[in-house]
Amino acid sequence: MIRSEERDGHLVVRIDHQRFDAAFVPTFRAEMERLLAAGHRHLVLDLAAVEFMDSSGLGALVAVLKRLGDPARLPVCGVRGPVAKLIRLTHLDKVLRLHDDVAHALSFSD
Amino acid sequence: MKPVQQLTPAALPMTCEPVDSRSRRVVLADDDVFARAIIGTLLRSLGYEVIEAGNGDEAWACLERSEAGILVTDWVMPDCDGPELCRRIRERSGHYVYVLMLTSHSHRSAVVEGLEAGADDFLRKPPDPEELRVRLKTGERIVRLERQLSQRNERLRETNARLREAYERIERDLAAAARSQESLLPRPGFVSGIAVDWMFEPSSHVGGDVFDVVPLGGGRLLFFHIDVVGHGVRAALHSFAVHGLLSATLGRRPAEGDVLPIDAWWRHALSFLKETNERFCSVEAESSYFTMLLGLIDGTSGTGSLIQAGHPSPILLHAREARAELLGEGGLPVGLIPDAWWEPLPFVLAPGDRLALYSDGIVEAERLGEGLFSEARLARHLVITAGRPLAEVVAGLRLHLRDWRQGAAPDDDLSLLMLERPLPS
Repeated sequence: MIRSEERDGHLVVRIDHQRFDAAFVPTFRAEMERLLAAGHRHLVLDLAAVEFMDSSGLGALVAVLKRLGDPARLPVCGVRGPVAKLIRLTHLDKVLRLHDDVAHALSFSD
Repeated sequence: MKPVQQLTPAALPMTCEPVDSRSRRVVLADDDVFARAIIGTLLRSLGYEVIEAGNGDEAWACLERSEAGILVTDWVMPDCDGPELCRRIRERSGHYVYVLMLTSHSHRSAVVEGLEAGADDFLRKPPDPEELRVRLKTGERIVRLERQLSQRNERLRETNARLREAYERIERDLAAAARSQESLLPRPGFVSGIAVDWMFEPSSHVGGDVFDVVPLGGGRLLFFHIDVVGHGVRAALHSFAVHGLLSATLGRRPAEGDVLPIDAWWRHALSFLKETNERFCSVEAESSYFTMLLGLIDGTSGTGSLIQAGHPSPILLHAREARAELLGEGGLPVGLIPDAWWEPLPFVLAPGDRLALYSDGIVEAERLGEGLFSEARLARHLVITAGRPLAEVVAGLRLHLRDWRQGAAPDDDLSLLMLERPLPS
């Protein structure tokens, strides 16, 4: 459900799951824990496959950002549909580093 | 709460004596005293406890009394013969009796009749000692298995009963919690000159949505609609706490003639919200935040202002033009991001206008293959029902949503708070 691959010195974490909701949160949390514990610090989160996110999903995403300390360390790309709407509604578009796709996100990071 | 009693085998009543003694107790039924003596001796020499009976009725009584696991019976007996005894045993409930029938009939129809009566095995009369020994071994094995099985069933039944009891207690607790959650909600009717009605359908007994209207004096009405992240008991506990905090801090009615100017009230409200935000953010564990609409309306003039903290945009229904307008463009939820800020958004309710505050559960109610209920459908419902009383609007929406979900239980809390500035009568 979550696939990660190295690309240009970054670890691209792709959520291959349509619903990023309360039921999915434990999986997401555990995988992010694992990646951070393994020392990965340059991450890109790809949400292109996600079609729905609820408030629990949003909470889990923000929790990872808080752990990293800086939103720039977890650029998020591919948000669309209801996910983009939720991010706009909660004004997180002003907090997250949003990109259209992975290539764009990679071209922006140092 | 009383703890659920520990389930240990020792706690279970011993309903039966050790399995082995019963599987080695045999009732021997034969009206021929001589034959009975020979077979009885044979059985005793094999280590069985033998209870002798001279006919079927006696054998039946012996079986009831001794709870023997095995019956060795002659076929032909006066009054109640072997097959009849067998049928009686099979018809009653209770422990299994292994029936070994002795017969001099060897033809097929006799075997069929015996089996149909419920016999387990046959042995030619007079029995060969070695053959009798091995056939009884089989009987013993079956009786032992049956006893183990029924003991296990008994234990399962007990466990089940306790689980059911625990489950019922939880259900009762949750139902009581649901009643107290509903009792927090405002009574439909008029407050500070504003008509109020609502719909509240938690996805389980209790939910994370809560709302209220509080008259602040001077014709002003405070209203809020909150959705705590998640649903179920955890979210409900948080929503109780937030409701209490808000009502205690912002819902206090000032002394007569001491009504704050609007900007001063908002300064106070926003500083309280910022404080709450920082408090929620500082909690180490997985963030528990909430989205909210919080507003103030003057019932006399219809002027109001509200802040939108990550909550879905409220819908303002303009009565005269029968037009729905989405207010606001979002805002940060409370308790998600430190240093959050909000700006009050002004609005006006003309006579007959309505304001609908709702949780995302309503607009995200899903119909397979057709997607989400959406703000557009909610707005259309409000426009179509514009001339109807609030209670009808709310009841209609409930039906509409149920129909949209096609009977599926809601997977998120559904709630709607409607405010209306009534037309002058």
